[in-house]
Amino acid sequence: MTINSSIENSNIANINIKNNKISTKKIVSFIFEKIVPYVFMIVFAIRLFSYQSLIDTYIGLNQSPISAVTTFFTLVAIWLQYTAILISILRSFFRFKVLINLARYITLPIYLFNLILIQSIMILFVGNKQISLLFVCYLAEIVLGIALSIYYLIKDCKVKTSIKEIAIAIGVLLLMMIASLPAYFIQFVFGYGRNTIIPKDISFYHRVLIYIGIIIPIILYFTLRNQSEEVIRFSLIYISLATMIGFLVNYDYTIFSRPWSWPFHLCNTAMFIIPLCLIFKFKRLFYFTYFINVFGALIAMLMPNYEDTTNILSSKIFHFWFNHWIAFFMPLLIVALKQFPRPKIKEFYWSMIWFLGYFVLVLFLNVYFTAIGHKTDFFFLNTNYVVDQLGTWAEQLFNIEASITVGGKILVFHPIYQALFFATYVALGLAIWFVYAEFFRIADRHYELHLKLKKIKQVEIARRSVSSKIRKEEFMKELETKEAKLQLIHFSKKYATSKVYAVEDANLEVHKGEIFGFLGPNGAGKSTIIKSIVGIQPITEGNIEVCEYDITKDAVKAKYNIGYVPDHYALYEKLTGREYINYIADIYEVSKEDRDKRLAKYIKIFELESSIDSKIKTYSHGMKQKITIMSALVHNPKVWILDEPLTGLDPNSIYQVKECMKQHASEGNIVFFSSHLIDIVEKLCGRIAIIKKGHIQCVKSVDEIEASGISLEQFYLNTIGNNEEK
Amino acid sequence: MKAFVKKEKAQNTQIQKHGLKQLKTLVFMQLRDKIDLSFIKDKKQFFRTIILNLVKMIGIVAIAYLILFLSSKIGLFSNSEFPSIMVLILTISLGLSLISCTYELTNNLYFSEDNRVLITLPVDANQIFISKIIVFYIYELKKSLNFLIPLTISCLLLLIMKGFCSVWMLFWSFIPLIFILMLPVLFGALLSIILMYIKLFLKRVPTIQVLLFLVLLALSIIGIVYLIGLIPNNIDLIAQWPTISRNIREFLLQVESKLAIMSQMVSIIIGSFTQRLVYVLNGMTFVKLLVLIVICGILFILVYFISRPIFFGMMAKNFEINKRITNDKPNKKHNKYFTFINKEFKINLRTIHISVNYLMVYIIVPILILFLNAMYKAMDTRTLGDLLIYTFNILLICLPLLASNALVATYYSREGRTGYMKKTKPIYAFYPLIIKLLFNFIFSIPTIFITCAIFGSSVSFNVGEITLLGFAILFLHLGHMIYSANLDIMNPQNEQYATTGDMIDNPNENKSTVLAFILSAVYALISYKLLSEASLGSTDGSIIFGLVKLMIISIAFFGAMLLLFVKNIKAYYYDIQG
Repeated sequence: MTINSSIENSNIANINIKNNKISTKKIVSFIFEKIVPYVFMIVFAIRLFSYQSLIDTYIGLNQSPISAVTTFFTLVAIWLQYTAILISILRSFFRFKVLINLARYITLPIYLFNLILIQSIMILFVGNKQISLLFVCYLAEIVLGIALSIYYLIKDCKVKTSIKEIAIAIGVLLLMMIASLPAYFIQFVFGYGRNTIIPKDISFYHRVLIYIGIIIPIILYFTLRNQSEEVIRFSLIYISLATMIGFLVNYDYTIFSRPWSWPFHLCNTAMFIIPLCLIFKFKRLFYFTYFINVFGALIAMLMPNYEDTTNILSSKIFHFWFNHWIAFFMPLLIVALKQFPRPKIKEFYWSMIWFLGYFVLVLFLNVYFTAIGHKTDFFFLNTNYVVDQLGTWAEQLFNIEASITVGGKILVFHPIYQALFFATYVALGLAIWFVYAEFFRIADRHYELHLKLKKIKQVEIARRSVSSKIRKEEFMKELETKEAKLQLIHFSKKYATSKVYAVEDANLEVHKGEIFGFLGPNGAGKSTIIKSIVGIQPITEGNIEVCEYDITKDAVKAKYNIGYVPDHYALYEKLTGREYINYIADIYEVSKEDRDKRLAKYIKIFELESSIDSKIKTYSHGMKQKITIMSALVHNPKVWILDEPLTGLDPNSIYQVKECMKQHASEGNIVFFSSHLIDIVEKLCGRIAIIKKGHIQCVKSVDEIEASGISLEQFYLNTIGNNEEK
Repeated sequence: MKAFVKKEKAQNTQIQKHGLKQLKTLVFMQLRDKIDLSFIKDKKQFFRTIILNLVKMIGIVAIAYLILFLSSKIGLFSNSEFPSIMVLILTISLGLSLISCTYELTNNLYFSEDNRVLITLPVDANQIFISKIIVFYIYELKKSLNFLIPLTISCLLLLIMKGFCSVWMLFWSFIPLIFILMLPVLFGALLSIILMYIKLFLKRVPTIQVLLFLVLLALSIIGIVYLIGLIPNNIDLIAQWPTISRNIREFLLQVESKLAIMSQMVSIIIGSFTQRLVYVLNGMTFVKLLVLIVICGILFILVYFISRPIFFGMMAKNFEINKRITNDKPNKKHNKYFTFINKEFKINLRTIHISVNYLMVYIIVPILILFLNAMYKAMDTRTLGDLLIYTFNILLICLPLLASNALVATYYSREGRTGYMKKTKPIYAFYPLIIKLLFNFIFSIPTIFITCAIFGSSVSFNVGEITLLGFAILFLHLGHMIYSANLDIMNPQNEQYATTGDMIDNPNENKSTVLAFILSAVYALISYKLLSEASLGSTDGSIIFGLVKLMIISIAFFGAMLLLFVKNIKAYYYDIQG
């Protein structure tokens, strides 16, 4: 009893320890995954606005207050820090292999690298290394980053990682760094170069920027569309946040006291709207950016409004392009990657409501700030910048003014210009919708094609693993040794436009030397089966094997064994009969001797001596059918398939075709034919199958049917009729 | 006896009446094939059609009147030269009618498929022949409502406005025109006999047919090139106006004097010129009209007695199946891949309308560029003008070339059910599908390079620049060709072609044409931008860099289209139901 109770006690103690361990783990996990990331965000946000920046004033490394080499490494460290912070924060919301590796192996060295260079960083940011709010925040950032990195290193220690995966993580980091590149980096590192280059007026450099602006989103689309939903969402959120940070580095705390300098320009708003919509899934707001921002950004990219004194490498131009580029492609990419559905008219209405709100807001902000002495021009509503581009007529419209006095301030409007501006923008937004729709249609079709090809490739790989690649000569030898055989294994066929099966679960086996009759009423599925055997139609389910070659996987090999006579002759009428048969013989690689022999035989049988060298278009229906039969037999196929072959033939030719069928079967081949002529099937075939409404009703030998005392015709009618009753 | 004669007379009248009724039926039956007569049944539609046609004719009259009025205002011809203008109009109109009537009557009388149906009808064979001639005459009258009649009215109106003749002349003019319009039909019927024998002969000896076609083609090309060569080196309409105006007047006078018969016909329409300086109808006019009527009568008798027996002969001949006993030709073995090329070339060369279509495009494009540049050469242009010339040249080369690819968008569907048979053959379908484009591809190469050479030499491009431009346009053409083929593969119309042999509104053809226009315009714009940058940006004014960029764009387009083509075949071709 005592022993038992002590065991019980120790068990309880163990459970308690275990529970304690679990709860401690939970608490640690809660702190590092729920609290630290948010603290990290706050610290980072304070750091971003906590100083008046000097870093964006340096043009070239030689202007740096510290040595060029140190400056370069310091700049890289700052750049890496932006990337690492986002990785550390986002890691608590996403969990996929590359991010796991980034958060535990890559971020830690980055934070340490920043810790080493913290004094240089401070000098570049504010010109001294004294203790300041920036210094404290930056240090706090590093500490939090290191803590999170160590936490993830321990937490994910069980997740195995190969060297290759680490290499991939480094590669991904480099790509991620593109999005977090600070606006001043290029200007600081490279200066302005020898010549002043202004990317404007569709000049070469301007075009290069536009091409990059279009090509990179396309690359992103192709890279991301095959990834998991989580990776896509992470990537889009990361890009939007990283570029928003890159955009914000140009602002400091003083901006809060200057609302007329706030980023209220249309494309500036996109930098905030896009991450907000992605993170919080603001559907209605998103379509504002989709219909309005994209178009506005595209116009800005085509007709940039920067001054002629700036340079392509300057932070101003970088800032301009990064902002407009993101506003241009991100909403499209988000919809293309199906993070938000393709918009419908309802979404358009909502986007217009948001646009109206935005328009009214910036209109009043413009006139109010102008009235108090700060001439603002959000969305180009308040100055004549746009009308200057359009000409005198627009200037005349702009000059029509209306003013109201509120609290002693005169608010000046340009009602006609502003109303027309709004209306034009709405109309263009609507028009651009069709362009987007067309692009998405192309993208969707391409994706569908991609998936289809992927599936085909998988089948091909599977096939390769089953049989090794056979050389052509060997294959030809192999062909000769193969026995004639035709098999339908659980074959089903459904047409793309139909919901029901045209043929369902058909099983059939035909052996060498057989003449097999295929009977059924019109529309029963005879032609569907035949067309699937010969490769005209794809198989929905199951398999078809011809001489043991699968018609889907080994199509070419299987087809070498098939001769096909369609239900309606299909010939090149501009060729002569001989030319056509020789063309078919060439495809099947029939030797000259064989084709001479066979052609001479069939020309004689079908009495085509006088017309074989005339053009097919001069032939009668029967003659065309004879040419079709001859072309199907020219390569002496192991499986000869005929779909209602006797239609339109004269009695003599019918007799000859029947003789050909008998002879072909007697040589060890298969003759598989469908027909409505039951008496011919009865006399000719050893076995028959009856199909009705896509289902094979029975497979029987003719002798067996006759032994039961009824004719094939009666049996056929019974089978079809009985089933009808059912 | 009297009663018998009376009875016989009544019987004859009855037969004649019945014969006329049959003739009317025959005429209407055949007319329906040529003209849409559905409006006759519906009163509303009947009036609507009449009014619409009337409005159309008034419109043509107004335009012609305006042109003639302005021409006389700017001194292109004086009042006394109005009959010469009418002679010219009548000559052109009757000349064109004669050509079309001869050609169409040859086909319609001797080689028409409907002869097989008509001969089975319980009517006199003579009636069939006459009905055919009447149908053509009515058709000719209808055609004249679009050209000869409105132009004659506008000339007469101008004469009336200027006080040279009375308003009544307008009504009179229709009477001689009714007979004048018989002439091309009756002459055409006679000439069609000769044409029919020529056609039969050429059918028997196809080599001569090809040779004749080539000779005619070569002669027309030489003629056109010669005419283009006549374009003066310097065109200055204002400075040269007195000379031009004098030449036109001299030409008109020559027309009147050389074409005396036509002048006489005009004098029947507008009457004779009197000493009171007006045109009036007099005794001579009526005599001339009578002569015209007699000529028509004689021609009709000639046609009836010469053409009719041949017509009957040909009607019967048409039914006989021409069985040709030929010697056994040897079988030829080709490589599995070459056999597709061989087949495509044979089919294309034997499909006249395809060959002619391509041939026309491939011949017209260089001639068009030659003409365009001859005109440009005669103009005084500066740098911007030169750039615009480059752009228009590129646009005009691309437009017809790419538009001709609309036919490619029907290539696979035109094969009808035969097209699906490719899937049953032991070969990956990409090969036969791409080989189908080979014919068009090969024949477009010389055209593109010859055209570029013509354009290049007229704007002083060197060989390298011409070659670059040639390749740039070639790749663009190939890209669009593959795009068109892709359309046909992804949206096949085989069933329609298999059933009807043709398709009036093929969506793939339409899409291909639309893209041809868009692509040509965009390409011309890009060319303008690139060439302007290259020629203005570089120190020596070389445009080679612009051309290289243009070629890279074309290659990228071609590559993208080819890749899509290959992928689509792999993914979808075997899935498309046959």
